[in-house]
Amino acid sequence: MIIYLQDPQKTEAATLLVKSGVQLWQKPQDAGPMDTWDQININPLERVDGLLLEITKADAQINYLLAQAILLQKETLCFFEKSNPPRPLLMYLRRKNVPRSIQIKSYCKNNLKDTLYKFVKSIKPTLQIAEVPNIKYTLRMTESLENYLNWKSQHGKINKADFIRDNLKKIMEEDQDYFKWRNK
Amino acid sequence: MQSLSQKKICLLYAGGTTFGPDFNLAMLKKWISNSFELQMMAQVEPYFVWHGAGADVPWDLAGRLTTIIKDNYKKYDGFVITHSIDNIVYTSSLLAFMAQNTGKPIIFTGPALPEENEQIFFQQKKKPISFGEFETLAIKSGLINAVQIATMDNSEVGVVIGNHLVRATQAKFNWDDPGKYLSFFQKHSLARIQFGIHLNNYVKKRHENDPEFNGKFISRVKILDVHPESEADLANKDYAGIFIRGFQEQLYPSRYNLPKHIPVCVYSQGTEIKSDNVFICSGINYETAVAKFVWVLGQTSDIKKVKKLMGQNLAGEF
Repeated sequence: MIIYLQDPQKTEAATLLVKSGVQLWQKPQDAGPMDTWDQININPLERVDGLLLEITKADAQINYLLAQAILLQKETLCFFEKSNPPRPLLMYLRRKNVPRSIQIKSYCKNNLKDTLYKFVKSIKPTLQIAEVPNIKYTLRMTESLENYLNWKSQHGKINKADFIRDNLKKIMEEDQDYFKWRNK
Repeated sequence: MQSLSQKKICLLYAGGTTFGPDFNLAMLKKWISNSFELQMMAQVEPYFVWHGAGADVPWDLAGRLTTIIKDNYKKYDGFVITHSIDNIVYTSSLLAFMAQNTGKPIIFTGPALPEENEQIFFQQKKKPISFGEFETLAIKSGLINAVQIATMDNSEVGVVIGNHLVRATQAKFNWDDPGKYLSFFQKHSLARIQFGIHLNNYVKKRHENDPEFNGKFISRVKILDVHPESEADLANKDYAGIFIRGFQEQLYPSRYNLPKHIPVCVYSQGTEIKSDNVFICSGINYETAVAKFVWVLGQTSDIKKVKKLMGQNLAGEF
């Protein structure tokens, strides 16, 4: 899955998306040699699955990319700082005749990841986003569980944290009650 | 529809993509007004200049375009011209000589799709089509690219070819690469169109100097190609000039009967001059040389002056 990202605000978007396993194009070199595109005579934007445009400080380049995205009927998320909305562009994008492929979302530091992941998932629901285990968790163990983890780590060639995470994930994925509850 | 941008672009419709045989100014205005994509980038105001088959485009089209640009020069930030692939390199080259030293961009763009495909497309759709419906075809977002370039800091007379902007006097027909109609001479790209549009640093910037508009030209020019057994009996014909795509050594066959009182320009790298009114033109794109000859003859009939002007770099042709 290829996403084009235009992020003049230099948010964490690029880092989050790369970590989640999305192939990101941000600059011409990312799409490979220009000669290749010249040969087939198309704009590389035609080959991306979607566009992510940070529009807090919208400019002519953003307008151009949006025009291309509309023309090419590409799924596009325009995201902007909640505290600093680009009002003229938002008024323009909220008109009736704007295609549904153009989504608009505000973000703050705490929900940027969710905003981006929801968009990526909306393009490709089957995509397994590689979540990054970045929530610190302190856990007290019994002596027997610790012995088992030590043994498993040594003999299974897996670190203890991964072993716990993998098993917890497996339990979660098989827990239908949990999914029913989450999808309410 | 109100535009998001303050830039004003004049869109001169001179062929290219047609929207049916009865296409007219009112339809063009409606189409522009409904083109959300275009209005994102600029306030686009259309002019209806030419509507016909690309192969039928006359030299005069460049003159008509030049007149409109001259009359509206101060009103707009840039000019975009839609044109059929057939003849686009001739019209754009001639216009580059007619509108010299302009401080604003004048950008040509080809059709969204070749005319034969266009007919099939219309037959299949059987209804008016929106701009977005061209999206799967080869030369697609040329108009959007051209409008964007016309808002940027450049003052070129250029042609959008694929993912490049090319100086009009460097654009040429492509005979070697299947599927590509146009190419460019000396591989000088003014801009690359990839995710955005990136102007190269040798692009001429906008300026406030007075442009030089001169739409005079003479189309009474005989254009010849040399080949085995080719004939030319032109001594008594009423031409203002003769342009020959010649051989590389002896220029043209000795049996050619050419007049002595009008300029004869031979496109060749040869050196053998056969007569005082014959001169060689080289180091320039063929189509541009023809267009330049047509324009130069409109400026003077003096053979020496014609020869001198043909050798000068007037619009970035060398």
